[in-house]
Amino acid sequence: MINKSQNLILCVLTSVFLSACGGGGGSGSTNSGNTSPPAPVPTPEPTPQPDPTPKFSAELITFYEQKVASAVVQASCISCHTSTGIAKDSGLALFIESSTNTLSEDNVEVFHSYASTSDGAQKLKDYPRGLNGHPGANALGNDPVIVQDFQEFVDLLTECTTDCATPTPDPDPEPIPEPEPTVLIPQSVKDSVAYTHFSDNIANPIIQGGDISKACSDCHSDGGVAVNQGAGLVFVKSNDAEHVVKNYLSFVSFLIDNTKPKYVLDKASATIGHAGGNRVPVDSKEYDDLSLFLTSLNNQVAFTENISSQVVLKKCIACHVSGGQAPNDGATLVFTTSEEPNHLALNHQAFVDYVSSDSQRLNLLAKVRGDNNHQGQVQFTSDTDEYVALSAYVDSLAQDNPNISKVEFFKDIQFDDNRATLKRAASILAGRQPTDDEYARVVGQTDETLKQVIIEDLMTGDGFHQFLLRGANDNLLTDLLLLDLDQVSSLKATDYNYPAYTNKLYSFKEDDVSWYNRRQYEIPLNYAITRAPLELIAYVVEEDKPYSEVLTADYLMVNEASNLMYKGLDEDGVDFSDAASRRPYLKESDIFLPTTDKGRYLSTGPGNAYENGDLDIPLFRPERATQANNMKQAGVLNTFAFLKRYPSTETNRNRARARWTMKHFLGFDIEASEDRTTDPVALADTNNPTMNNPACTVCHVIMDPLAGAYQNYNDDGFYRARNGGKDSLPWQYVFRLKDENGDNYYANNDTWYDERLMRAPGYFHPEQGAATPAPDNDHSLSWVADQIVDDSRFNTAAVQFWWPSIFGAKPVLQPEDGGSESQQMLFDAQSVFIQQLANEFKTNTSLNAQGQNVKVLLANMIVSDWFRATGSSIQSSNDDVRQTALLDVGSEKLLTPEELEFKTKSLTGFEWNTKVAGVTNLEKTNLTHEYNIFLGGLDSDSVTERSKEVSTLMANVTATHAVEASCEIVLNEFSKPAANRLLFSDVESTSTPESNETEIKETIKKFHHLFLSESLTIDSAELDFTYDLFVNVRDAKLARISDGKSVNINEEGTSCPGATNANSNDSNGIKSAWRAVIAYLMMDYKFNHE
Amino acid sequence: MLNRRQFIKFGASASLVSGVSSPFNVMAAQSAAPENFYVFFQVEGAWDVSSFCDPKINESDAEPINNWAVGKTAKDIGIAGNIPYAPWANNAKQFFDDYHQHMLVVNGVDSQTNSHNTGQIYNFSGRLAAGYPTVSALAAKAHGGDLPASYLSMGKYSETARLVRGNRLGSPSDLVNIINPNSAINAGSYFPDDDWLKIRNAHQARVARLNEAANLSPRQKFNRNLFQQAINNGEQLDALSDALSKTIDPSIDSSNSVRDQFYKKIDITLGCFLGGTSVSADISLKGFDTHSNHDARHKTRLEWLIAGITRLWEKAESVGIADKLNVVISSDFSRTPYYNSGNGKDHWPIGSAIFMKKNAPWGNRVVGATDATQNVIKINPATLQEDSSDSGIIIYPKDIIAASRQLFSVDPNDTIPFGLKENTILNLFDASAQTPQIYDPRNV
Repeated sequence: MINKSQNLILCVLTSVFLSACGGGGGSGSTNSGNTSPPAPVPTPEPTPQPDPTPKFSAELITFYEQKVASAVVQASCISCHTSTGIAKDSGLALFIESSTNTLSEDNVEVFHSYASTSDGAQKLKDYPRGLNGHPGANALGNDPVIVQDFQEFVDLLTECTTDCATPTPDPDPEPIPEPEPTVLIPQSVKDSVAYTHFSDNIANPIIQGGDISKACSDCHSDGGVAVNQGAGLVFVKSNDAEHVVKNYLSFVSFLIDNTKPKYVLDKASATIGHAGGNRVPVDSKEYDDLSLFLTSLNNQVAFTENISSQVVLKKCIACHVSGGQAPNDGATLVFTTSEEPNHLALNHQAFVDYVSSDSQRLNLLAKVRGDNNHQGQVQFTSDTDEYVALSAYVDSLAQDNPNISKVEFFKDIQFDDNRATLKRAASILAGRQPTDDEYARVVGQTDETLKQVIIEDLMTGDGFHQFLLRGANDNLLTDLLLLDLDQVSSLKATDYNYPAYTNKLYSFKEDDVSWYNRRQYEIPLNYAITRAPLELIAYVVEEDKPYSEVLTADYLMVNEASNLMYKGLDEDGVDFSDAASRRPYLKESDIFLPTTDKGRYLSTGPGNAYENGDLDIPLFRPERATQANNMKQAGVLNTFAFLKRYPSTETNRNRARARWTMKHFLGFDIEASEDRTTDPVALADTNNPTMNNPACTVCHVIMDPLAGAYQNYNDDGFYRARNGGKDSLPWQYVFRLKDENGDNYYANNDTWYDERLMRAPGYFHPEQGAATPAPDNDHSLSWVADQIVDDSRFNTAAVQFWWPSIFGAKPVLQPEDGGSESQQMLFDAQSVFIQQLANEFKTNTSLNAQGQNVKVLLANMIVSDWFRATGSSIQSSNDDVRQTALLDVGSEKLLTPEELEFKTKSLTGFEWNTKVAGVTNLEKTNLTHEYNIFLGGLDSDSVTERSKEVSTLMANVTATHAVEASCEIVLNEFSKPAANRLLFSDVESTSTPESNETEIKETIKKFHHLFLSESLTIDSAELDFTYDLFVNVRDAKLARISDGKSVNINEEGTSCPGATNANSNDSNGIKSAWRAVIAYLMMDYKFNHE
Repeated sequence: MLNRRQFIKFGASASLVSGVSSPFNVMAAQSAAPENFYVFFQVEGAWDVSSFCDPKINESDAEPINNWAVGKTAKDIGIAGNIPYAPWANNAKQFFDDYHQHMLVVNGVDSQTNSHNTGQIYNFSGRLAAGYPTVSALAAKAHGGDLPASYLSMGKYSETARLVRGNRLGSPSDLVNIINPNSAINAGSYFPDDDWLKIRNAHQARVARLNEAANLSPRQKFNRNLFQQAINNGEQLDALSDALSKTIDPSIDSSNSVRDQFYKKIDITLGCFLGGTSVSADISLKGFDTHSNHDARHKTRLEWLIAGITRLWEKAESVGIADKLNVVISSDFSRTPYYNSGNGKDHWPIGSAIFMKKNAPWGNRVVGATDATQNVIKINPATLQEDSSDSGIIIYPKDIIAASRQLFSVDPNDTIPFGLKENTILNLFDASAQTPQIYDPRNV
């Protein structure tokens, strides 16, 4: 008997070869089951049938899919011509997506209807070329091929107005003779690897028992024991002339019922319970044969069931078809249309051929996600069912391919245990050492427990707060605005936009406040405004809010300084009375709370509300102003610091803001997304190329709608800053820029540029290949923030955003042509891991998280192999590629200046010359100020990436640090009671090798653990080296004393500036000895690498 | 009497026989003094070459290419030797008059992009893809790989591809302070020399042990090796103090102005060259991205750039290394041959590059050209004359980088483990030919 599934799969496998599954009515459904004696034809369940009367010819649909859909509709029309787009009333409202029909047929229908109207066909030919006043200008661009194709398409439509449909079936057809009860499968299936292998190695040798002791069909056939007990795998015996085909189809059917090949293998080999016993031992040839067949067949079935119509015919075929755009651009993955009867087998084989290496597998998936310069952009995001199915399918293909060597990225790598992992995590996340209790809670425990301790104990306090600010600024680089109060600061032009600030400055003027005192007001205010986006990110993370809130927060962060500006003129603002008690570890200027911006007042006239007049300082005139109460915060996006860090110009039109928004929050660097044209003519195009030149529109169609979403913010970042308070358009555009008729482009109440010049504000959805217009102009930025956080790329971007903070190197980019093999290997492995992290991050609910929890994300990074890799037994010299790929992975990354500063302070209490750095309002030491750049730090300005490799000059800085720290540390430590010391709790300055050798060695052992993360035994050679230094320096000091030199630790006129009140007498040489040991440890490689 | 530094050196040598095995006393061999030095100026933000080395007057003063050219004709274009220049920045005439003999100008370089990031990557590495090293990094690898700070990476784009370590430097005085970690220039806290020597020896021995450890991960192995190199090269910094004292200007040491920071980079570069610690440098000057108020803002930056290049040559001359200097000046791309409505100039892909070497036989020449509105004119690669036929070629940044490698004596096959693909059929240094320029006052 053939069951329902078998019947369905017969349809699946044969329909495409025989045009229809039973000719459209089901009556011709392929018969099945035994033919001798004939079995009754089972009545299939009703199944959805294709429309028997397609309205348009296959030729037209194919032409549309190949020549028009991508090149014209998706590239141009769809940005306006949708049911909600700005051209919705044009009569040509195309479908972005249809749940009821294919996109192609729907859109051809729309075009057809339009062409059928009076002059419709001619309009279709003219308008896209920018003729007859098409508001969308020259949408077809200058590519003559595209223009010609579209004209031809319109001609086809025109012909179709009289005869569109394929011949309608005769309503009263001649009775079709009942087909012979013969099981047919297409020749292409018979030619497939799976069928051939089945025919040669499975059908007789195994199923009929030729090579094994007992045939499967003995039990797995009608009347057999297995079938009688309900087994789903039913064969026919060899006396059936068609047993090969039928039994092949039995396997097909069995596998399609979600049964995996392994189940069959395990049954046949009795690895799991099998009443028939071990028929195919695991080490036998038959087992291998059966395994190969089942996996090959499984892949074919998976393709047929999950990939063909859902992925290939729905998406890929638009470009990846012979003569299509993809092969023209050099793509090697070419599919066959459904017109070709063999397309299932051919397209499956196309995938098999393409996935010839592991990197090809990853490349394919990356391109589907829109990465790796996929010209077709995003087709499926990683959270869609289609992507998941495709990923499983190509993974299986790769596993099935014996020629693909499986790279085990971490093979022969050792990993940190929980204790070592916690120590490094504490240093990076919290800027301190773990406590004994924290160690005790993780040693020998699971990763989940380790993560819990990391989150609960390390992700709190000032160290973690600074970690978050630092990590956020390493991306946003907004701290640039702290560096120079007069040139580039958050206060620029604020006196013309925030009356509280205007009035404050005016009062300074009236009161003749000195320049210095005015600075004492401006510096903390600039700091507060500048730090707002970083503090928002920190707040979202620390408060366990979903990370999406960094963009969707309808509040901004203020401290007491900025509260005065943002609270408005007549309101109380935020209450900070108990804020310090909630986070006592923060200094006052770092205590930020959420609020809304009520301080912005628009000039609504008559005249400027911030009239200068004859004064040399703005004067606020409330009668000409109104509070900007229609503003809506969009997380960090419309903070001053973000807007001013990425300022705009009249010609840039917020594109830089759009670019960096995509980079930071979608992980999409548009500057690296497309190969740029090498055609100088195209690049020299002055005919508004961002709208018309395909060399430019390829990026601008994505970028410009997002740029438009920033429409309400002027070049300096102020909301609706033009007089009148209605928009932020530059006055040159409003008053000077004319079209070809001499008319202003600007029209009253416009908030953005004319659509002949710029695309409408909106958000480009990669999967739709088009932008969705913002629903209103008032809140386009907060609306676009919602779109971004709903985009699956937001989760991947979050991983990439925080990756360098944990791993000490940026995620590697996809290598382009000529890139190294190791870079490709790293990229492949990293991409998989990043995607795993992103998928988990999206919904992470472990450890009480509610999804998009950054703490859990960071903890997942830390417990991973990528963080814990710490040693290697890779022996093979021919594994250089993998060793190079691992150069930025695991422990012993170079510490940043900030991490070194925190580490030194937490271990020793020493800070190297702390001071407020310039006008930044930031307390810094020599490590993070004078030597920040030397040590590989960034300045958020000209140096925007951290160094990850040590240099001679860096080593000299850390040695200087050690020299200057050691004296102060030793003297100050020994001046305290033992119980209050950080380091010398077990020895005194009177503890000598003669009297206390064990205590000294125990202290050295402790130091090696604290400073260098080494666990030494008391008799280890390494400990002896340090002890020898101690003894030698001490002996030298005693020798110098005996020679009449000073007994003071400071000799040769030196001093110990940070310990002037401590006892510097060192008559027994012990302080000098410890000083040398401390310097030795702080200069060490392991002190400066974690 | 020995001074402190001499004493340390003597002590270090003596320690070789003091019971510490020799590998633990690795003092890097002093490299031979470099025969040449290499500087690449990265003009950050895209310069306006129509107002500098590819001068353009206006076809119509109503729609000017350059406001400075309003009312001017081709005869008003400056000329120094064979090199036309724009009579705009106040010090341009002096600059071209002084250096035209030592200068090759290449005009009509098509950067093929209008994106800053891409333009910088392409013009400073020769590749559109990220991750490829600057020419200066290649030169450091080729000519100074053993030096303690062979490559000074003070440019906007400073990729090393791990061939050498990039060195970013802050203020000159801060650099002086760390040349000898055990000095007390500021803090007053340092060890007696004898103690310091013991610490150094123990430190070096420890570093060697760490580096020899078994079962290291690739990152551990790589970073430990780097650290050991860094430590062992430290002694080579000794000559730097004296050298810096001859090149730095204390009066601008604490200045944070863009101009002074640019000057400080030049001063430090010369000091590091003179002190034998470095062989190449990328130096950037930012602020050329003048989308608004172009004339005022761009002119100032151009004057700073000219003053900086002049400063480099004059100071190099004064300390006796001008003969060894090889200089390239390039930018992201160029600026439009017209103003936008904000009196700014936007991005334009066709720009220029300049090569400089004292008494270069290939100096006093211009290769490549643009038309009256700064579009590329194709040239014949053999004759360097205008050639609109199929034989004519366009000069791309890859050609500039290939020539830079030639000037910097870098053979990539000897230097790097991957291809660079900037081969060129142009010989920009063929002294026998040059390309006529559209605005040459000698032809008026």
